[in-house]
Amino acid sequence: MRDIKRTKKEMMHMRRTQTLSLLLLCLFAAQLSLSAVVQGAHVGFTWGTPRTVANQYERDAMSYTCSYISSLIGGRPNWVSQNYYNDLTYSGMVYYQSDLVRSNPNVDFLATFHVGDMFRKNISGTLHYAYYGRYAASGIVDVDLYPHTGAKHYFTYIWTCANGDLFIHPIYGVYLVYWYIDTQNGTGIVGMPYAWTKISNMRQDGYANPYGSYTYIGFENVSKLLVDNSEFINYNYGDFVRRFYYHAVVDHYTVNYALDRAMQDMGTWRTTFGMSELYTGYTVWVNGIGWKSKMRVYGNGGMVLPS
Amino acid sequence: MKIFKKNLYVACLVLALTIVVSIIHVNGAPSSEMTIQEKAIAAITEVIGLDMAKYKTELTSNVADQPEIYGGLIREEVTYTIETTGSRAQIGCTFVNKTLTSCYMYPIEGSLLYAQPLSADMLNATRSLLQRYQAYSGAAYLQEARSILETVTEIKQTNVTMGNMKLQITGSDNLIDIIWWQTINGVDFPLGLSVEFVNGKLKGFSDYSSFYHIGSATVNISQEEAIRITKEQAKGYTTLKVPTDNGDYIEVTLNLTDEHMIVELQVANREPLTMYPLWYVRLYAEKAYGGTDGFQAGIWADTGEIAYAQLTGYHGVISDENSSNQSPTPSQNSFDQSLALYLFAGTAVTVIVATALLLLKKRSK
Repeated sequence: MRDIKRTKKEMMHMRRTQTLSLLLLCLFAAQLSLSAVVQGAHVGFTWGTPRTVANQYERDAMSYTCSYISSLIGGRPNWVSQNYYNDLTYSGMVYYQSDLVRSNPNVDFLATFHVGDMFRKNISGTLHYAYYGRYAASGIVDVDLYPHTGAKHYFTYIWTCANGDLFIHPIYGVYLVYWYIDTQNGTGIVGMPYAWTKISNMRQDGYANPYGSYTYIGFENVSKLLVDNSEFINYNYGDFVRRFYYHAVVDHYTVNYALDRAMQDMGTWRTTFGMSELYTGYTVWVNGIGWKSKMRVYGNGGMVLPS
Repeated sequence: MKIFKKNLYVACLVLALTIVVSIIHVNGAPSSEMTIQEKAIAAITEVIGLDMAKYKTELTSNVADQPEIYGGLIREEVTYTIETTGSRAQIGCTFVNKTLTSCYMYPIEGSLLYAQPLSADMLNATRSLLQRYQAYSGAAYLQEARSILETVTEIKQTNVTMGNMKLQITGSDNLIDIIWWQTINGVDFPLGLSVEFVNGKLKGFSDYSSFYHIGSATVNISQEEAIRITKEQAKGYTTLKVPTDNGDYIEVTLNLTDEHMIVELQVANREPLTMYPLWYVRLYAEKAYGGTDGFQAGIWADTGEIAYAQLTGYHGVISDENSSNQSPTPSQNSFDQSLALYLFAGTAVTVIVATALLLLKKRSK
């Protein structure tokens, strides 16, 4: 009987020890996994859809670029990344994830990259800026996105046509603006840089005049394709954007420096982004109109993405 | 005899010293014993002219690689973050085979502090920069580059030619680039030397002139021939499969026309750091499909070989989408799993620990 009792006691002791060990292990694991978030997590999202893209090589480049950027960001300490390219790129998901970032006190910075096609959405006679989602009627529209952004949406890079447009104010004229409030038709805000940042006075050339806490990069009028070799011959704009992210995220260069270094990596005589076609501009003919186009850096090109 | 030998010895020594000093001078003021970081600091102070004594300096990165674009030559890049009250910036200097090839400044906050006040006039600032750079590098061609600059009287969009050297000033109100070219057989090749200003302030310069080579300046292929080659190439690309909303593809044919066609004689690297003339030909289609609007090709103007040939396009489709929300509801399996899950896990673990401790306490009683 004594032996049995001793065994029961021993077993109970063993169980307690096991339970305590397990609990300690769980606590340790939880501490490890939470450490990044507790200290201030930075989040990187990549989005895009090939739904409307006819060029097979471009579709491959879009997928690869999103995957590359997401892996690059995810591999950095204190960063969490998610690649939502293709099936998960739709308005509901973009707005939902954006809300999550905003409401999560442990997240302090969101870096967004999107590649895909733009469209203009006619709402009660006002043309809004938008880009396609994976499904019909799942496009991301400036006025719909607006309530879900701001706050931590510090760095946004939208590789579509027109979503970095600078245009004459449709109501007051004269002024070149990247956003306005549609008081004529009452459809809300118009302009994607404002929809993402909620900053009304970002520098319109943040590459030459860096200032502020937010950076938004987008194309004015017609974008380039990622697979376009014409400026670099041996490389293309996909290589350029991937090198940009490498220098910005891994080397911790300012946005402007990372743009310049990415340009140097392309191996041409253009040793800065300021010398490139992307900055100086190029003309593309669409529907009989020659569109003077460029990639525009809004806000603070002096921003250093957090480490 | 002894005196003659002694004199000969002294003469040889002086000659040897002279040769050593000249070699050091030609290869740039910093001696070969200096580390690349020391060389970078020397370039920032002696060429750019920043007052580094006023800054706290932190090495941000020091990277060395052998990129394909430099044909295996070693590229070293040193980046410093400099900081003082009200002024913070990153400065990046690049060296190829230990030779300074670029130095650019990226202000993060405030203005930069110079040892000597920088001229507010961009032309004078460039003249001073080149003078300091020539003293630093000793390169002979810089004298010619400085001479052509003397012929310019103001900063505005311009092209000036002197002999076979050309100076181009380009840019806008915000950003000015001063670029030197050399013209051979009517083809403009970049010298590799350029200076950039932003908002009237010096941003930096680059000089790859000792590494750039001209492979050929002969244009054997006419413009018409380049167009013909491009059109011939395009034939294999004009059938497109345009995606539809139901996941299928519609086959369409791009109809290329001569309207808005672009033909330009450019130069590009065929081998690392070696430039050749290149015809750029861009053809537009009558109608764009799925963002594909035409075809472009680069044709080497000396050989007629194709550098690249591809469809052109953009990321935009002219249409309008219905605003009714037919998209799926966001699932809980994406962001939640990566970030929100951590929080959930943390809470769950805390609850488990508390429950388990209570149970243990009960049992021990």
